[in-house]
Amino acid sequence: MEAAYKANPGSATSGDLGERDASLASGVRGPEVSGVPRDSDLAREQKGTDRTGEGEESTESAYRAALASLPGMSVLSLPKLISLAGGSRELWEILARGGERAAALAGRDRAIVWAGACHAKGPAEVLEELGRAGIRVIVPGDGLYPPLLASIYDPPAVLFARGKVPEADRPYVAVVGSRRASGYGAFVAMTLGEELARLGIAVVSGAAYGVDGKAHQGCLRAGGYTVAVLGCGVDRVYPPGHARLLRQVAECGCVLSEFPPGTKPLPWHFPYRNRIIAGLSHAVVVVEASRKSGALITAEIALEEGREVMAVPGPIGNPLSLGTNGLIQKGAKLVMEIGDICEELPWEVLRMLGPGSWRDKALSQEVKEEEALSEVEAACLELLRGGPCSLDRLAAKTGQPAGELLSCLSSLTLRGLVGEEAGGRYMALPIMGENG
Amino acid sequence: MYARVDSCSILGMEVVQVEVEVNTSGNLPGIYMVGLPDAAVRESYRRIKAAVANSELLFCRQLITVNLAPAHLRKEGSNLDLPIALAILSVSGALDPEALKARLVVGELALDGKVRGVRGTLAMALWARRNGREEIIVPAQNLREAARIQGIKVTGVESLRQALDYLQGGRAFEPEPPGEGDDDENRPCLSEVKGQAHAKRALEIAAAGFHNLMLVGPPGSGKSMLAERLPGIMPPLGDEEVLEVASIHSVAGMLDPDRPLSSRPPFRSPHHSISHVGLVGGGRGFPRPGEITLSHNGVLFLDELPEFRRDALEVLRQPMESGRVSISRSLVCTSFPARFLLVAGMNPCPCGYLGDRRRACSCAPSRVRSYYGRVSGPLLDRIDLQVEVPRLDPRELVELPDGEPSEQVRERVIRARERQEMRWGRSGITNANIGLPELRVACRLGEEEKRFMFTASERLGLTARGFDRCLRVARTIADLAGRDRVCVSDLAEAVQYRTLERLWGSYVAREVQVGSGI
Repeated sequence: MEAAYKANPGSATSGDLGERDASLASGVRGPEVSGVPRDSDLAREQKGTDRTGEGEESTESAYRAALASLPGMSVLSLPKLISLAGGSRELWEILARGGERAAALAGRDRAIVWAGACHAKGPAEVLEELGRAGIRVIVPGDGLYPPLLASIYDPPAVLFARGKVPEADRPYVAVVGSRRASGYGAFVAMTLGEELARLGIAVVSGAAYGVDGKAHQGCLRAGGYTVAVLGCGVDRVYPPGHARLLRQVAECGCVLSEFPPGTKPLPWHFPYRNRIIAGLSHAVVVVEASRKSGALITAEIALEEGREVMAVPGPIGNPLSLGTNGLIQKGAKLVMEIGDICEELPWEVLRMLGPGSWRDKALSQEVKEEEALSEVEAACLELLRGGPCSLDRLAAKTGQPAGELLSCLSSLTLRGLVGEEAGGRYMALPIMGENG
Repeated sequence: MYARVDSCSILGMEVVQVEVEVNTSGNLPGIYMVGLPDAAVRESYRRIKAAVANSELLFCRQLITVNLAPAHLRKEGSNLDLPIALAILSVSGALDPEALKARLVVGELALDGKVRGVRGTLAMALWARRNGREEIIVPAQNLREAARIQGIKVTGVESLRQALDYLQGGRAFEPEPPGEGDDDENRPCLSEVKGQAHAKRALEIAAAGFHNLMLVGPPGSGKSMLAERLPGIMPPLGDEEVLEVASIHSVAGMLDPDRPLSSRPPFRSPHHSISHVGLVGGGRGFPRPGEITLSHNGVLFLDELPEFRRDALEVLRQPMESGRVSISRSLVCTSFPARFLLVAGMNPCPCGYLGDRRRACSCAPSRVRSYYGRVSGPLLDRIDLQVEVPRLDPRELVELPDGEPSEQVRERVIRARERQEMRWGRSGITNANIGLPELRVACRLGEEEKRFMFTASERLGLTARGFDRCLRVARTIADLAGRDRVCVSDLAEAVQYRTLERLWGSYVAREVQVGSGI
């Protein structure tokens, strides 16, 4: 398992493609799908291809970015084609030249389309356009490519990033889960995000609704560094309700994708994205997941890559805890508080957090001040500790009028002791990190 | 020969005077009807001729010219049959023209000579009294309705023959003394709804402050049941309001003949397939009142709010603000009263089971988002109270005690309304529609209250608009409790009615706010 953590950028292009390469021909992507270019374009662009060559690295990233942007290029076939051609520049030249060699590599139809696309826009232009849009291109071997990601079975051939590119100097923990999180799941994701950020651990997630978004939010709230991995181009806003969140992540963290800008968020992109989430992280924490949740795919990939997989338990019988409780049953670490995550991180990873043990840091965080509760508030809290309750039940048990109870619940909510669930039910929030 | 009868006609919501003039000349039988009659008026000639013949009277055998003055207004409806018939009979000598003076006549004729009921007689009687008429003759069917107006003699006639006899000194139907109908009969009671303490409390606040209300809950959770019980806890209508409501319903032909002057606030619940014209009024010819006018001074319940057509919902915004709806058409420009309390019902998600304990929701988050997106922000902004109405377990249905009966709640509501009237100095002005500067003065917050609201808006993600709405609701809560000052507990309760903002933040708001509660 130790070896899995070692940086191994050299292996990035040489991976043989396995059974996951089912969608080699899938997906028409980007707005630039075009037919065969006109002759005048051809002549003009012929020169364009020769303009590159300011430096080895930028050439490599330009070629890879341009190759990834070819219409219909799948993210899994790209590294395979590069290794078959013996390099990205070579691959570009073969495709641009067209003919038998290109047809042998890419298939006859796509070779024709790609030859046209290669002539329409050269690598230097692609890179320049991306630079103008504020998008960085990261390729294996350029010093920015996350070593942890490079060590997975099928690392992406190129990454597009907005914001601060993730650096290898800190621990990364993925917090993933259902898009349809309950109040409990949302609270746990938010709290974990916040506490991980306070310790200096980066939070990786997928920017989806529910758990993912809350984990990012918590991390941002505590001023931490967070990476959002998207299943579409980094210039797109998906999901649409997270426009502002994504903007903030791009400011204080990083929005990352292996899909070229302009790519639509198609359903089969998300398993690929999940492999990056798992690949970037030292550990994966699943907060709330139904039996068929995409978060379980992330957990499975993390297991295959030898990363730690942990899960936050939920009440049995709740469909949203079937996935997480199932993981725990199969041996995943049960997470009750932030310490449970830190304990599982390898020593050399924890060392990145700087001097002093994480225990001291976690404990030195603000201690919740215990304000005096009124009689009704205490009674409500006591009842809610026994499980989520509707207002009706609270009213029946305490005998208080609804107005009084609502006012108590508001003040308990503001103190962070009580949360709300969809369906008009209130719940006592778990006190996390107190016994750490 | 010439004769004249006064009548009136309904144009949209207004009653206009119509003078029916009849002149006969020459010896070639025929009829000319002038003065912009619509189809129903023009056809009246056929009905009148048959009715006169079947009443064993002689029809005038000359060229008849009927003029409906004022000539420039389009006349609608069948209520001019009787006055035209009487005028024609008068020129042919069957009736003394003097008998028609100072009387107002309305009524539709059947071919056999019977008089059929028309709509709007209550409004007409009201108008006649205001214009100093002494008597109005209405169809016998409408007698109970029109006789509710005091200070004017109302006579009911059953047939053309009877009308003729009455005008020549005979007898007609006299109105019975109005029986005091008990309004509380058959009124659904709030205690019939089990549990739902949150929603019931919201109903009470809505009734007290005339706040608009949204009920969010899965199918079968009792949203409609709750909404139907809202008029029962609202204060009874005042005398002016009763007349206003009754004349609106009378004009629309929807007055309950057994209880024409009910002090119960009206309750309307149109189906979600309604068009925007059906909702706000309008239509071919002269604009008719829509559902929002029919629910004037009462409750408009829109169940399944997101299923309503977007254009229909958008037109609600202006009337909700001003309490009136202006309708401009090429021929006319009119305005109807429309001060209603909106109760909106909706499911928590398209399948209806989001947050339900026993049934999993099958909606993708993006679908839920677009579902909420169908209700526009500006409309949502005008809904002060939003509560969830969860579905109860069968066990809870048995276990939970009956709530308070409607009368008890209504007592509190009436007291809260009185406090508001005292404070604002005008009736009809409530916490929900008072201007913002006045509201700020009435809810001056102390240091502690300010601190609370600051924390609340930060932790619960209240917007600036949400903040104002909370203030209004808190003012009503304080009024219900009989407090002059708004205190922290009122504000704390008020934030519990911003369910959508707090819980569905990411669905309702265009963007998620970082730093907003859980």
